[in-house]
Formats: sequence, C-alpha cells, structure tokens
Amino acid sequence: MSIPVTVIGGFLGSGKTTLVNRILAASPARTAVLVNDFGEINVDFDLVKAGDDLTFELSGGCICCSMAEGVGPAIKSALKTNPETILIEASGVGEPRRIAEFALLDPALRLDMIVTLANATALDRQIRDPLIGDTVARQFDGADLIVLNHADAARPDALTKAHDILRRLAPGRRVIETVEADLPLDLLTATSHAIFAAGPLEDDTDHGSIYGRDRFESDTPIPVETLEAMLQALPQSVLRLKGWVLLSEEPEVMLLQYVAGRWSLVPAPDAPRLTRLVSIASDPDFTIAESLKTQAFSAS
Amino acid sequence: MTTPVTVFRAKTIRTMNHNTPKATHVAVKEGKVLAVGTATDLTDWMGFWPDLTVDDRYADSVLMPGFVEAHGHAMEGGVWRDLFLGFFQRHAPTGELEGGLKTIDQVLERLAQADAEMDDPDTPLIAWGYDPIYYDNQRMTRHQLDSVSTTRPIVITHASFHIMNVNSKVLEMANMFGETGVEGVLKDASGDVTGELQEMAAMFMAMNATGAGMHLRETNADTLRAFAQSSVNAGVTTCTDLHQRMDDDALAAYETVTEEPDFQVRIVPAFGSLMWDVPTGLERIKMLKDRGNDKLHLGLVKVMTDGSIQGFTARLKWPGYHNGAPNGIWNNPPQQLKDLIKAYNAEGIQMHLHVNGDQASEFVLDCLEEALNEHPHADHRHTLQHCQMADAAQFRKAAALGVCANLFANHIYYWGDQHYALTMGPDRANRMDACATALREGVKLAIHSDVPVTPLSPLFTAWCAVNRLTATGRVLGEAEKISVEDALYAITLGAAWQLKLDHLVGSIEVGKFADFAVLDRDPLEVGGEALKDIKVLGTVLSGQPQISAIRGTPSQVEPA
Repeated sequence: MSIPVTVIGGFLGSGKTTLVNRILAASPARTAVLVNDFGEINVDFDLVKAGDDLTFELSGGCICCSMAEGVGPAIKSALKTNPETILIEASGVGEPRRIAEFALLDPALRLDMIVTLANATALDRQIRDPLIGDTVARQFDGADLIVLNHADAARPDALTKAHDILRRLAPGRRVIETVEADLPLDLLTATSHAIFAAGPLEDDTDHGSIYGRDRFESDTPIPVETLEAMLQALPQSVLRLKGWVLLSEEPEVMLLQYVAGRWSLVPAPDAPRLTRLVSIASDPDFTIAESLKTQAFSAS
Repeated sequence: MTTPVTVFRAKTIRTMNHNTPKATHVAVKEGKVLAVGTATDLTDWMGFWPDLTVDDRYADSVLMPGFVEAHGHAMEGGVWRDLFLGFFQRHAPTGELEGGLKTIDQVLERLAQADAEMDDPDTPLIAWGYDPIYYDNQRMTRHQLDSVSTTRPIVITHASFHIMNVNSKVLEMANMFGETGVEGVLKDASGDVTGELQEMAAMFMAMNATGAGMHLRETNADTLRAFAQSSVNAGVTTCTDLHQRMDDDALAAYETVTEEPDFQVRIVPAFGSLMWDVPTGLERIKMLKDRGNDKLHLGLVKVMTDGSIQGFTARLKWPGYHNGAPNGIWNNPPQQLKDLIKAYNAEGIQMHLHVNGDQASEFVLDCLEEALNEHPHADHRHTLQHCQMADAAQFRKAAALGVCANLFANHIYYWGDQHYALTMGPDRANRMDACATALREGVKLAIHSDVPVTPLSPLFTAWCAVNRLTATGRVLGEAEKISVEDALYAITLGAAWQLKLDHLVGSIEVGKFADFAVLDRDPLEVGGEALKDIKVLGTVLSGQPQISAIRGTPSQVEPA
C-alpha cells in the first residue's frame, strides 16, 4: 500500500507549525515528519513532537542547484523508516504544489492532501507587498484546502477581504476559517482507521456545528458511472469522503479516497463485501445517500 | 641555518604595488616575497643573500600577482565527471577542450560519441551545461535522445539547473509515462511525454531512478585537487568556494588537501548560512574561524537570497522581466533573511550576499543598513555578490555603508544578448554589472566567473569588464566599461580585499605570499581587446611553480 503524504504550506506566521503539531497528535505513531528546520531559534523543530528517528530536516541551499539537499533526499531517508504516513511542512517560501509532485511521482507514495494556510489578519497586506506578494499567492496553487487561520483576530472587513483575495487567487478552492488552525482531526489524518469501523460516528463536539459527518452503507453495488458522477458533482463543502465501494462492474471491493475534489479508487482485497463510505463536510446537512440518489437519477 | 633564496627573473613583473609597479626580478624566501626589483637590484641582493639562486624559467614570461577569484565554486572539480554539453567551448581541469556545440545535432553527436566510448551498456550517461537559450529555445525531445540510446539512461541537466532532458529509458525507469498529474513532466500538444522535466520533484525522481548519484555538490579531496588544477590553468592562486555546507566531512577534505605540500591553490570556502539554523550556524562559523592554514582560509559566510536572471528566478523591481515572466523566487522569506543578516552581523561575521536582481540587492542593502545601525561592525567588508542589476543609487548606498560589490562581468559575454532581448531589456542590460558606476561611486569592486556557471579565467573576466562585448558582438553599455588597470586591480587586490586577504595576497610586495600568475604577454601592453588572448602558462604558489594543463589557445571566445 502506498504511503499517504500530507503537505502543509503557508507563509511565515500563518500557523503551519501549530497545524503540524495538531496533525501529529492525531496521527499514527509511525508518522514521518519533514520539517523546514531553518528559522528563528529552531522554533519549528522544537515543537514537533515526533520521535527523533522519524523527524527529517529540510535544510536550505542554493535554489539553483539544491537537488542534493531538500525534499527528495529527505523523503528517501524517511521511507527507510517504514512510516505509515508522511507529513511535510513546506518552508515559508516553499510552493506546496511542487513538493506534492514527489508524492505524485513516487509509486511508494500517495498524495493525500495539500493544505495551505493563510493568515487572515495579514493576507491583504502580504499580497500587496512587492517583496512577498507573488510568493504568498503562489502557495495557494494546487491546494486542496485553504485554511484561513487567525480568523478570530481579524476584523470583519479584513476577513471579508481575505475571502475575496482567496477567491481571486484560488477560484473554486475550499476555504475554511479557523482559530489556531483548529481543524477536525479526522479530516487531517489520512489513515484514520476508526472511520472504517461499524457503529455510530464519533463526533468531536467542538466542531459539531460547523462540520457535518455522514456514513453510508449498502450491499447493493453502485454503477461506476453513478459513483463518478456523484464525485464530480459533490459540493464544495465536501472535504473528505472515503471508504469501500462495491461497484457493479468490478469484482473486487474498491477503496475510495476523495479529498477536496481529487479522488483515487484502488482495489481493496481485504475489505468486507459492502459499500461503506464516510464523509466530512463543512456543511452539517450534507448526506452521501442524497448525493448518490441525485446522481443515480441523473445518470439513468 | 639559512633557508634558500630564489630569485625569479621574468621579462616583466607587474606587481600591482604602486611603489614598484614594474620589475623584472622577485626574490622569494620561505614561500614569501623577500624583494622586488631589477637586474641592478640583483647585484645588491647577492651581497645580502650570498646563497641565492636565480631561476630563469620565466625569463620570457610576464609575472603578475596570482589572480584572486572571489566568487567560484569547488563544484568545478566535480562536474567534469559528467559530460559537458555547452554551447561555448571550455577547458576541463585536465586541459581538454570540451563543448562548443552550436546546434542540437552537434549536441546529439557528442552524446553518441560519449555513448560509444562507454563500456558498460547500463551505466547512465549524465551530462550538464546544456543551454537551450542559445538554440532559439528549440526544445530537445526524448525521441532525439532515443536516437543516441534506447537502452542506456541519458540525463541532461540544463545550465539553469532547473530543467532536465531525459530519454525514454529514464522515463520508463521513473514511471513517468501515463497520467502522473505532475506539471513538471512535460507533454507536447498531442499529449506525448517529451522527456523535458522541470522542477525538483521530476528531476530528483529521474536521477534517483537511474541510480546516478547527486554528486554535483559533493566536496571531497579529489574534487578539490581538480579544482586546484583549474585554478592553476587560469592563473588563479587564491580561489573561493562560495557556498559550502562545511560539515565535518567537507572540513576534513579541505584540511587534508590544504595540508598537502603540493596542493596548488589557496582556497577560501564560504559557509552556507542557510543550510544551518542560525544558532547552530553561528556556533559552527566561530569554530571554523579558529581553524585553517596558509592555504585554507575559513570564516567567510554566504547568504543566498534570490535565484538567477537568465533562469528568471532573480527578484526584480518594477518593471520586472522584460518578456513579462513572473518575478523570481526568494530562497527564504525576506523577514527570515533579515533576521539572519542581523544575527551574523551582530557577531562580527563578514557576509557575502548573493543578490542577482535589483529587488534583492535593494532589500539586502536595507537589511545591512538596519543591521549596521543596530550593531556597528568596523571593517565588515560585507559584499554584494553578482549584484548585476544595481543602479547608481544602490551603489551610492553600498558605498555609504562600506559594502563591497563583486560583479558578474562574465555575464555580459555569455548572456548579454539574452539580457538585452529577454530578461532586462535594453536600458537595464546596458547598465548590468555596472563596474564603472561602482568605481565612480566609491564601491570596492571585484569581478568574477561563478565557475562552473561560466569558465574560470580572471583575464577573460577582466576582458569582459573592459570591452563589454556580448557573444554576438554587441557592446553592452559603453559607459560602464572600465580601464585595463582597474580591471586588473579588480581581479587581484580588489578581490583580495573582499576576502580580507589583501594583506597576504593580491600584489607582489615584500612579506606577502610569493603567489604569481605566469603569462606569455603583458596585460598592460597588449591592449584591452587582447586580454582574453593572453596565455596563462601556470602559477607560482608560495614560490612553487605550478604548470597549466591547458595546451594551445587560451581563448574562451571562439572565432566568429
């Protein structure tokens, strides 16, 4: 099985390290974390809680010829430790999309999610700064999820402005407001096994009002056409959808991984013969059954 | 017990010391200059030092102070393990003339020849220095490379280091056919994977799949010895390695070779500050400052800020790139760079700051102003490296802050036409690498090659600053030409000053190291146009003659 990779990007002060720590706290024990070690008094590095043997530094170098350093060799070292997941924190000027290309190219890896953070109190100023504006803007390229952080500290007009900027820079991307990068952990962790268990959904109540979770189970196979039509038509609010799917055309149960508009379907030979999907959306009313039903009708 | 005195007799000695600017004899003792003079002085010297011997090997040659290359990279000693595919000719450290490939067909022929010379059919063929900017940006495809070999992996890194071309074998090995979803794996209009790979992920995965080592950056004793031979070939006796991680392995390699009595050059590595977090870096540079020997001078620090102009990664002020390309990239967030510059300055450490675009040089000047106001640092000699787009105002500010500039004069020849047409446009290209403005505004000046980005040859670099001719023969900015005397100063004492070594090297005067460049003609007699045609016969390092490996013509510039 390929190893899921999460890439966290964002300019200085957007809350990357906070988010990395949140993810690590909820991640499997064998999560390799690649952090950009450079900066003020090593702050990032000290806060990262993973064991030393699973922490890899991304040291800086000359941009003209830094192939021998940086992400590639760090991923290579990380893979030697047999991690369950890999979490990469881009540098303050790093372009998450470019880092994610490693996960797309390496058959040992699977890109789970690119999250780019924006600082709600500073985004407007940053974007207009000729020194850094273009650098900040490029970090939203290819992001699956944009986290507009420090939303509590931003004045209402600044928040509106930040949303406007993000709509312009990253049209169609999912944007979520947060305080202290507080996101539902089952959204962030690629290998949440709990999600596959039967029984009621555990909701972490703090987020209950903003996020909706849903589960769908069925032993009737779904036509692949209906599934793909549904995935294509999923509303912006659906952040993650995953689980097993019984497809009419496929003898094997498939594992579906959907993250913010991108998805993969791979055979899951050990899975039980049923469809069991779990979703997390920024709309408490979203249901998988409704979404599937709509597509089943429109597909037929 | 007395140590022997050797007197080198030369046709002419240009000392760069204004008290005795021209001489014919130089006496050397214990690797240092004991006296400088003429045949008349020699009679007196024989009275003072009766055991002296006269060495006539340079009787028909001209001696100058050994040249100082204040911005080069020891990587030059390693890159030649791979095949050079440059548009311009250049010499390998061993003296072979390589490159000069004027069409893509010639590139393919050279690859085919290299393929035929390799015994093992599976060994990857790795090449460097290919620059499509000279072939009207015509793109090479995997199909062309497949004509060289379908079985041997072929990887060509472009001169920009941001792009590669590979053959189908590599794409197969790296699983790059099909839907990768990666923008860096290029496809043509029909959806065919072209074999052009951009950006680090695709490039790294291709290299990794072939099993070829990432040895470009590796510093070991062998690469340093090869680099030293390159220096001898160019008349260089003091050379920099201006971005070096300087971990324990690299330090050990440096110490090993420089303690060898026959190591051929003095070397000045600059510690790559961005490769370490600030506290660790500061601790390490302080440790390094206490080490070294006559041939190894530690303590310099390098700070990277932006990329390169021809790679469109330099940070430019308004109006940006002439062809409308988006602005370049910062190596680190500017605020982080400022914090680092302040931290190193506060500890009294000299910095060499890579700034190609004018936004980068302006930003760094602002940082240095703040840093120096907060922590005055007498005789800091902080130096802007490349500084290719600085205008008069930036040079005035540099002068006011006591900041030096090491300008990339070789760019005028190698990329001047491209700067004029694509990157900067006419006005800014005409004042790029503005040596005359820097001198007029009172900035301490050096000029450099950035070897292996361009060939190591200070006389050629001086020729560029004096003539400002591009590869197609355009004069780029008449007003920025400097005199031969100023150019020769820049490649000797000017460069030595920036390395804080001007009390040891850079001129031929009593007490300094007996480091000379051995030339076939006198740079002050041949005229500025011919500087590049002067043949370097070798060097003398601490009184020890070193011989150039290059036979035949010295010129970097091929006849049109």
